[in-house]
Amino acid sequence: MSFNQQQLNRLYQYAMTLASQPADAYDLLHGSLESYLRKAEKSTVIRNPEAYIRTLIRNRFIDQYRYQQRWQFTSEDNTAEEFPASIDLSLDSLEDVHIQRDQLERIWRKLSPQDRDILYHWALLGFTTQETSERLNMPKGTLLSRIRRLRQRFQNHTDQQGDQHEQH
Amino acid sequence: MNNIDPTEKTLKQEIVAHVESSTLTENQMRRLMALQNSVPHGSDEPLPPSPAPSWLPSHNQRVGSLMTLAACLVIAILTLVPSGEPTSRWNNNLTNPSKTIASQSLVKRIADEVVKNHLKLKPLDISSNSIDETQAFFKHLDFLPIHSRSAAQRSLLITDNLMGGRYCSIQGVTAAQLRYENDQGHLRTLYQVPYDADLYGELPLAIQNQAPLYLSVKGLQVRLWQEQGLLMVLVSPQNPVLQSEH
Repeated sequence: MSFNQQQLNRLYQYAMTLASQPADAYDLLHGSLESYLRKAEKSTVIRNPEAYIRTLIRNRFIDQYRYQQRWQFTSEDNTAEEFPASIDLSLDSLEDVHIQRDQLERIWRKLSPQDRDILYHWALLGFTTQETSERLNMPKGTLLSRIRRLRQRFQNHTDQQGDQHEQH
Repeated sequence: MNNIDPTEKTLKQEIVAHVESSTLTENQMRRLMALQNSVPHGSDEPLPPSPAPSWLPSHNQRVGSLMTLAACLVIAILTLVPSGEPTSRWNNNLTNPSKTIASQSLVKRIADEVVKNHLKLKPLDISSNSIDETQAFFKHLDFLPIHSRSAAQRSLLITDNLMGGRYCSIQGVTAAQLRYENDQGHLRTLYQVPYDADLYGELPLAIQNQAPLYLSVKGLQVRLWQEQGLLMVLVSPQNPVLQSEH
């Protein structure tokens, strides 16, 4: 299978989500596409090529970060039991958050690649909490913990903006 | 009461808009499409015999890239030579003044590029300590990566410690990189690409026992030389023992 321009752009956008830098994102995509084509050349059946390349992009990115010791795997392995079941910490809890474009761009730049990865799967791919946990191979407790912090972060920013509006 | 600013959209909408605002450039898109179009998918059809690797830019793009580099080389020479400014201390051992000496800016660009690559430590396409297996893997190249006898003789590499290799490019030209690990676990990367005198200028010749060009980039050592018709670029960690060579 060959990817059309729209698909290639989507894959590039995922690489950008992780890498942030256009040159790095292109390298990730190019290298991953090469690997995929070599695999496809051997007639290996790949059911969902786009998802397969996203995985390649992610693995390549993690390899680079692991080398640079910037990718954290275990420090936030909180268990879901730490949070009361009554509190909605799933990705659904982000659905009612509103934000302005410039605010998002400011926060987005400061987010970790892991958090951007979660948000990408939620917003762009429409994954549920469970699906995101499985796809990213991230313990559910870690994912819930990250979602809670993300919500707080966006919420705090929105609240601060609201306060500023009221003062004016 | 939660008042929503009418200029605000939902977080999800803004994330989608932000992410989708990044797109490939026309050139990048062209390269990726060319990469796909030249590889036969899911068939037993062999790869095209063309020396140009099928998964890299088209011939015209490669020629364009080479022309650009050649132009840079000429400009650099015209800029440096008439002023009497020495191009570099490491050009002293180049023997044939009729040949174009290596452009300092081009050498620096190559060094920057390979160091960046080295630091990324991308996964190997083939893991093997056998040079034969590694050579056999690089079937898309129009040259054969070699064990550098020169590097071994200068104790820059222990060829037994080969880890494997992967495809890469140097200034847009398809290259191979071989990775080595010494007994202390330090990695060295040897990049190889066909040597083109018009493109790279004159570089030290291993066969004449000339010392490699040497640069220090981002705390790493970079050495360049030509050997068996290949441009060799070695990236290695700083090593006090090796400093005396220069």
